[in-house]
Formats: sequence, C-alpha cells, structure tokens
Amino acid sequence: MSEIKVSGLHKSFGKVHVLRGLDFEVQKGEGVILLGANGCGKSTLMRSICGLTPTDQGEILIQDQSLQKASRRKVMAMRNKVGVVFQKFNLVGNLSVFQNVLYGALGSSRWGLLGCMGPFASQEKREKVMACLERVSLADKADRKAEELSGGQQQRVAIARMLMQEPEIVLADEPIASLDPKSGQEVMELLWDVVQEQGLTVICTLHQLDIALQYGERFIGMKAGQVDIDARKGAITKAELEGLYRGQVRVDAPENWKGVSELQTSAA
Amino acid sequence: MSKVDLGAFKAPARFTSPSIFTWVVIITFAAFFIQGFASADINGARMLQGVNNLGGFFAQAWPPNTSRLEPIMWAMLETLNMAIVGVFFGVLLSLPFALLCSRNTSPNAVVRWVSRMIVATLRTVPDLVWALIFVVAVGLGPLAGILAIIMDTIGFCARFFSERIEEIRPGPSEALSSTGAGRMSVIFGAIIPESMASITATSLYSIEKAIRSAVVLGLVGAGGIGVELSTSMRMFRFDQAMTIILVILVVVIAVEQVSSAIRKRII
Repeated sequence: MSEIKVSGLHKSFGKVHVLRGLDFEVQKGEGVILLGANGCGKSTLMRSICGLTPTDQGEILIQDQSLQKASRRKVMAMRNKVGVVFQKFNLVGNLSVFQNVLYGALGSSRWGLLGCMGPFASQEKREKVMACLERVSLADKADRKAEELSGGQQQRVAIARMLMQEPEIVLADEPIASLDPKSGQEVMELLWDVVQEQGLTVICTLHQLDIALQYGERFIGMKAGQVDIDARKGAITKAELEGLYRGQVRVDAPENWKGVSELQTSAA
Repeated sequence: MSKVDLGAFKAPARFTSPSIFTWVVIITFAAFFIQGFASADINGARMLQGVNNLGGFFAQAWPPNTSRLEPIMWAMLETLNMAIVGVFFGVLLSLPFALLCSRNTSPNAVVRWVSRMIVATLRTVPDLVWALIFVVAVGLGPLAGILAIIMDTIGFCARFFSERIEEIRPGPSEALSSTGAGRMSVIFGAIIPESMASITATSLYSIEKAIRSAVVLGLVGAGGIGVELSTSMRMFRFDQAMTIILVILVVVIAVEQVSSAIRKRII
C-alpha cells in the first residue's frame, strides 16, 4: 500500500496544459523532494494532491482512497490527513498565533469552528496548541498577532498548525522560498526534524538544489508538466538535477519555443 | 556618439486625436451641461435678489434663539439614536448579504446574482424615498427613519463588505480548507477575520453617513431633529432654525471626529 499514488494525471487551465500525464507513487515515511523550474506545474500538482485544485483526468489515491471519486464530506476527511505548509505561510494575520495554531484542529473538530475558537476550545486542545508551539520554540509568542512575527517565525507557526492537525502526509510547497537563507535553513531543519520524529510521509518542493540534496531521500524532477527524473539519494548528481532548469521547462511555452540556453548556443 | 539605426520603430506621436468614444462622451456631457445651465435661468437680477434674501435670512436668524434648546437637544438625541439603531441592524443584515454577494463565499451564481440585485436596489432608492415609503407603512416618527436607515445601510455596507471579502488573499482560507475544515468554518475562521478591520471602518463611516441622513429624514416626518427644523423654517422662526442648524453642525462634526479617531486606531 502506497501513501500517495498519482496515475495518468492531467490538468489544463484554459488552453494551457499544465499536468501532462503524471505517474508516481510515494511510500509511507518517504521524504520526497519535488524539483522543477518555475511554471513546470509543481504547484498545480501539490494543490491537486491536497484537493484544492480539481483535476481533469487520471487519479490521485491518498492511502488507497481516490480523491476524484470521493464525496465532498469524504474529501474533507482526506484533507484532514494531509497537512500543508505553504510558501506564503497563510496565517490569518490579525488573529493571535495561538488561534492560528488552534485552527489546525478544525478538520477533526466535531463542533467545527466553535470547538476551535480561543474562548470555547477545550482545555485539552489549548494544552496541545501550547505543546505544538513549544515544539517550534514559539510558545512565548502565543498571544501575539500572527502578522507581527517575522517571516521565519510565521512559517514556524504554520508548522505548529500542521502539527496540531496530526497529519500522516505533509505537503510543503516551497516552504522556504519567501525566507532569507538563514531562516530558510532553520525552517527546513525544523520541518524535517518534525516530519522524521513522527514518521510522516512528505513531499516538499524546493528551488535550492543544495538544500534539496541535503534533506531529500528521493527526488522527483518535473519538466513541462511531466516527470523527468525520479531517483533515490545517491543515484543522482547535482549536475543531473540542474538539467531540469534547461531547455523547454514551462508548460505555457508555445510549441516552437526554444529555451534561453538553446538561443544562446545558436547565436554563438 | 554614433547614430543608432532604430529601424521601423518610431516614438509615438506627441498628440493624438481622441477616439470616437471620447468625442461622444464630451459632446453628451456638453449638451447636458448647457441645457442645465440654461434651465437654471441664471441672470444678474435673480442673483442680486438671492443675495438680498440670504442677507434677510441671516439678519432674522442672528442671534440664534435658544428658548427651545431643550426640546431641540432631545430631538437631536433622537436623531443620534435613530442613526445608531439603524446602522446596527443594517450592518448585521449586511453581513449575510455581503457573503451571498461575494464570488468566494456565495453558494452559487444564481444566489449571487439575486442578492446583488437586491443590494443594488436598496442602494439605488434614495434614503429620503425609503423614509417616505416607511412613513406610509408605519406612520410618522423615528421608526420610519430607522427602517429607512437600515435599508440605506444595507445598500451601502453590503456592497463594500463584499468588495473587501472578494479581495482578501485566498491563502488563509486555503490553509483552513486544507485542514479539512468546512465552508462555514473557513468563512468565519479566515475570511471574516481577514476583512474585519475594513468592515469595522466601513460600519463607522456608515454611522457618520446615517447621522447626516437622519437629520434630513425628519423633513418628511420620519422622526428626529429634521422635524423641528422643518417646523421652524415653515413658521419663519429663522432664529430657532439657526439654533437647530448649529446644534446639527456641532453633533455631526463631533461624531465624525470620534469615528475617524476610532478608525485610525483600527487601521
């Protein structure tokens, strides 16, 4: 049984064919780094896996259950198993850090929002929020407004929210792309520690190849809406990964478009 | 410096003739403007007479007569109450309307279209017309004024709330949906908090707006200080009217100051 299975996945936005037949499987506990140039369809793939973007063709199985065939209610239950860390953190800016982490429990809360609001949440949940914040070393910031925190801190709050959700799968969509190198490294370190502690399955998109090679156990490289590379750690070099950024990489490029590097060589 | 060959590219012309559309707009505007100016029948003698009459009004109005200050103050308080009660219910009803009108929160296109039409109608009918209608429906007095203000507030607030709701960042809502939260949880957990500052500011502004309109609503008998003002004017007691005008001035300015001070703290 695989945790995530993507088969024959297609998605178009208008005339732009973004996902052009993707197939791959991710096993439980695997740490996958998804690589690819801007505009190659990474984010669309990530959004499809957590059910935020509906797909046109093909199937995504999360723990052997089809996301495409599931009812609305079922999709909600499946999303609850998948924690997402976004590039832009996506905290509710004018609410407290505490409240934002508490929102992680929304999917499993029987009373919906009412059970996840600061004043009404159970003592057990409140303590759990503090434990999650403790894990990301931000317990002292619990009553601050989320938007007052620095980027790196906000992303750590987002990780605490993901912990609160108790997911089995984690999707991290360029979690460090909006951060400076130092806080990026810290956040990545924290994210990977947390994921490994709990034995979670993770797919993480990244742009920094060095960081990717440092953390990833397996690399899936996308190029123009298709899987171009799928290799384990040790079986691939940085030079091979760099190839993902050359030639026709984007999904919105016209048919006869030549990559920048090819234009340069032909001009020389 | 060597001369660069620019090939087929030339700088755009300095002046271009306006498009046909622009000409149509200019001519239509000019036609209405000239017609309007002519129908106002402006001439020297009338202007002079007007200035003369205005002088007469001020001569009779000054000094203001404060003998009826107490009932005037009570009427002003009533106006203030009308505005606050009306805006409170108006804002309360605006929220569901705004959610139904917004692309990102409305259940479907039909509901959105219908609620937008309702809000647009509420907004298009002027508050004075609402007051006339409600005076017929519930009789003279502040209730008619309050109902008119509710209608006017929904027309105004629902539209601005919904515009704000549509332009919030989608991120936080997506984050909440991706935890498996339901639609209502996302709306009240992320969308409303994200737009709260703007909703509060708009509501405060609509209190200012409601006070100004509540003053006028009295003129058609919908309660408040307008009733006093229209009586004084009709009885040619310009000195009492002046007191009323001054009281209105002070209260409206005070309310605007307080409300803008609060808004500054929020934003």
